[in-house]
Amino acid sequence: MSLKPSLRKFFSFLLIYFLLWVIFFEFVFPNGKILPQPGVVWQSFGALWFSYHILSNFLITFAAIYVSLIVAFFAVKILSNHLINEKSFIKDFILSLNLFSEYVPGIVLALFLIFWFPNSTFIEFVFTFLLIFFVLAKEVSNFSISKCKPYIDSARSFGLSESLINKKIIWNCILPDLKDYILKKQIYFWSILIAFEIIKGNSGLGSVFGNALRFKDLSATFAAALIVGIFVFVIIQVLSLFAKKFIHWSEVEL
Amino acid sequence: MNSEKLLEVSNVKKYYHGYLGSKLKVLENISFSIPKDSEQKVISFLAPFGSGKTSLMKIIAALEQASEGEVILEDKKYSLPDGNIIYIPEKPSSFLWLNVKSDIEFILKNTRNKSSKDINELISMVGLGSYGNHHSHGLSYGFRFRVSLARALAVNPKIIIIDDSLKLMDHLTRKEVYEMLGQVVKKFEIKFILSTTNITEALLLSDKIFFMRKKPGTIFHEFDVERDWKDKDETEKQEKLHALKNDVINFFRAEKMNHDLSFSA
Repeated sequence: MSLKPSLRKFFSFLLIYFLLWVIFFEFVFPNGKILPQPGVVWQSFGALWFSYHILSNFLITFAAIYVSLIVAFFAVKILSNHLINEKSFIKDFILSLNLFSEYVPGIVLALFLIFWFPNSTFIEFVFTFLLIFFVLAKEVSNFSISKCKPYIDSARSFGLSESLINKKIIWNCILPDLKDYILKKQIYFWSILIAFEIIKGNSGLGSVFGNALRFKDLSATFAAALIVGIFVFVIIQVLSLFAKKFIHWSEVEL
Repeated sequence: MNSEKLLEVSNVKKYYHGYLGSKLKVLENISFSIPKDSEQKVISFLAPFGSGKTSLMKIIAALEQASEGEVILEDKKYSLPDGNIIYIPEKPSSFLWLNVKSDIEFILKNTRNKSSKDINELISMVGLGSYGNHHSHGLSYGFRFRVSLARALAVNPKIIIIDDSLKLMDHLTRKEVYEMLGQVVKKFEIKFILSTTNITEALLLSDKIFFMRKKPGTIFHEFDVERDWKDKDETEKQEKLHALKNDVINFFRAEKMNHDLSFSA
């Protein structure tokens, strides 16, 4: 099996960083104050599994992101008719929230939600859904419909209804860009949710990091970051293949 | 008499509003008609870029409203597109997410008009015989134009507008498309309106050419193209084409627009 050149480069650099880490922090600076010793990190995997319950916490974060992503995607699809309509109240509302979010970061919402529902795991799902829905709705609202103009003009001349054009033509025209945007935003979704969980502190991967930091357990923090990094990378690759299978077209700029 | 006319465009003007109440005139007093039972099946608008051809085509197809004047199709004002005038834009419009067959089926499922021709027959007529199950994504401009044309023919419209859609094709593809269009025009009782900047294209495909000048776009001459030379052998055809091109260029030279047009095949 041959890898894409960009991935090959990525893995080559990863291997170099790994070797440098082993050489420097196992043998040159083995005190574990800057980065942990590779040998100690290896031992931390067991602690992450048994003491930090990384699997169940990982599954909570994973489910929160991807269940919310699926629900948000279909919610945006249902509302797409309004989101692309220049005169729609929903579009204005989303764009006004966007303006608001430029000055008040989304994490403020997270603080309130955590304050109101400190022990609820469900609130993580609500927060992630709101975040992803807003991000996707904003992308669709800002989409330049002029890219789809040839489809729209041609479809209108056939006498197709505006709602059919919105649902079946403009939506499919938007999909390739939306797919790329969703893939690009993966790290953002993971980071924001982990930050939310660190503040909330009782579930998800963020709680693993929070606890490791509280116990000043550098090797567990490092090991957890390694595991999360590898899994997120794999998830993005799988998602990318999956998305390419279903959204196989892309509009080439003419 | 109005009843004999398939399409009548009368005194169409189009202007856009600019700053401080200024008006940008795009089209000025465009009037012409297409008789119902005329032998002339392909009418072209030959003009340089920026002469309002696309605005005119869209007004005819009721995709844009004229600022003044009206478009009458078979004695009725044509102000809402209903599938009787199909517009094929300059950029490819076949749906990238559907295959050729599904694209045509999608349109047929959602429109009132239907052609008596079967989908497979239409696909082979436009030269896409073995491409029925191919997705438009990955097809060339030429092929995507053919899909748009098959889709248009499928709903049996009165008029098909081709808005400079062949411009993006390479030389060889364009020649093949001219040939295919010639065959299609013979087989269907549909009128075609072509907008182009290409003299050769206008001469090879049309029965009548309207020459337009720009700023604002107006028709300044009507030119009937004889048919007989098009079926003659290649040498004679090229000689006649060359002579006609010179005639056309002279008209545009008089308007100081001869450099704005394209001559390639």
